[in-house]
Amino acid sequence: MPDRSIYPDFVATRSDRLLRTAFMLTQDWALAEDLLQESLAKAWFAWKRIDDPEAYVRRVLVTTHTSWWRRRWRRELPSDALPDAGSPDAAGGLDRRDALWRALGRLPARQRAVVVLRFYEDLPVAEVAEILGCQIGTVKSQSAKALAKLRVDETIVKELHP
Amino acid sequence: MSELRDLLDEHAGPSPVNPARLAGVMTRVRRRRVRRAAVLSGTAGVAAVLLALPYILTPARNTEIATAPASPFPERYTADDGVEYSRLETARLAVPEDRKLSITVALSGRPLEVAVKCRETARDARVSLAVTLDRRPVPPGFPPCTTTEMLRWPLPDTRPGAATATITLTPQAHAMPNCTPGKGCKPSTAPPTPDPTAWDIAVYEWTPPAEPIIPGPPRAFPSTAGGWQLVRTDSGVYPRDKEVSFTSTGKGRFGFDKLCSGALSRQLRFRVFRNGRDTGSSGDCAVWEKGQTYPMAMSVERGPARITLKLESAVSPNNRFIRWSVGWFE
Repeated sequence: MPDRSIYPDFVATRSDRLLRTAFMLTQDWALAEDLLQESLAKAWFAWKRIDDPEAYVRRVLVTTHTSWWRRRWRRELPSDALPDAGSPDAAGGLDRRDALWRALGRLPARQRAVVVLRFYEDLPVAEVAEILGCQIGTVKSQSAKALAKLRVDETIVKELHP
Repeated sequence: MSELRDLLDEHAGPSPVNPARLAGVMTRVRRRRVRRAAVLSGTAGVAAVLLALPYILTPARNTEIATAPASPFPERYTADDGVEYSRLETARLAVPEDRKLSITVALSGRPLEVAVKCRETARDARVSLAVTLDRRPVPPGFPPCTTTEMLRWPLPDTRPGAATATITLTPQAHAMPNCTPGKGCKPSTAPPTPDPTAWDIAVYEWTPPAEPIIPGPPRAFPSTAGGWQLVRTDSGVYPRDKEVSFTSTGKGRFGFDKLCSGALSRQLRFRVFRNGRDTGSSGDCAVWEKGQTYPMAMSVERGPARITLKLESAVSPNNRFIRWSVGWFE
């Protein structure tokens, strides 16, 4: 059971890392800060019953972001179909990396979370499943769908299903 | 695969530093507690946590600056607003070797500034620098080394008539909880042992301008941010305008955020009064640079309430004024 006296130290030492994860999810530093503070506040109340604070906050980041995204999705984007491909901007030239970054931002929140946890946090599939509260197979299928939408090389998808 | 990983790493940093994050989180905690009105004794817990001090590094040796080593800091430079700075002293500080660093400078009557530059960055940087001027704390100090950019901090006014002033920087390693899966976490009992970290440090003095300098206004708040809608913006020039209020008549949540411009912005504090009562909390304002995303640090309140922000600074303006804007969101 963590002592709350370590909470300020936890915020000071782990925030930078968690903020980056939040940014990967939101692609906006202001939103990421908002998401992080919201998640840290939730963790404060659960502090006495959590074993691993960082894993807990990471999980809350993901679930809170998914919850926000769902609310916005219903309000602003009444279609769950993603564009077939990233379209070039008016200037005529998004390079491949820009297109990939934008495509990541268009993924549904849960798929984006899978990509961030697997390929940014480098967490094993089992741990991602635990964070998302789903089966390992679900993580694999969500990864495959996400990567397919990102138009990432098919060898990656194969790697997930050896 | 590597392209995706590289892309994620590329976009991950550097992250914006927000020294007011803990204060922002605790404000949210308080707001949640209000909603959970049954829990009235929580305030003491919050206060206890806010007062909890970071672990101090194991003493190894004290460093009194004697000679100035080669330094990345220029001897003189001109700030964006045209004010001239002259370097007085330079020093280096490293952990775990140094417990603290004290720099004593002769005073000429001009205001002082301390500048810090990390030698390297660390993703899990855990050592911040607390700053005192003649033993008076100068919060919030410098954050852990997540950037190698020069960070500058204007120092408060020195004691009237004093011939010298001593600036002390104390590394503070933030302890990580000692967690065992399945068995929970305990506070670290041993002093933390952070990775070696080193800083270059300089003390400058600056010449107050003969004529008042009023900076351009901060960038305008976005009309929406994080699901919030901007409903009003108040602006002013410190020290002329030292107070601003907003009344929310609804029962829902509302928030406010602060932006500033001007060289002394980072020492401006906003004390928060709710319905005329001092909440005991205060915050700083962000400087929204060009090319950055909006550095949101929203404080959230629940209506109906009248919020008054009272502005104060330990640094005399010396003809360098601060432009501030407060955005009110619902």
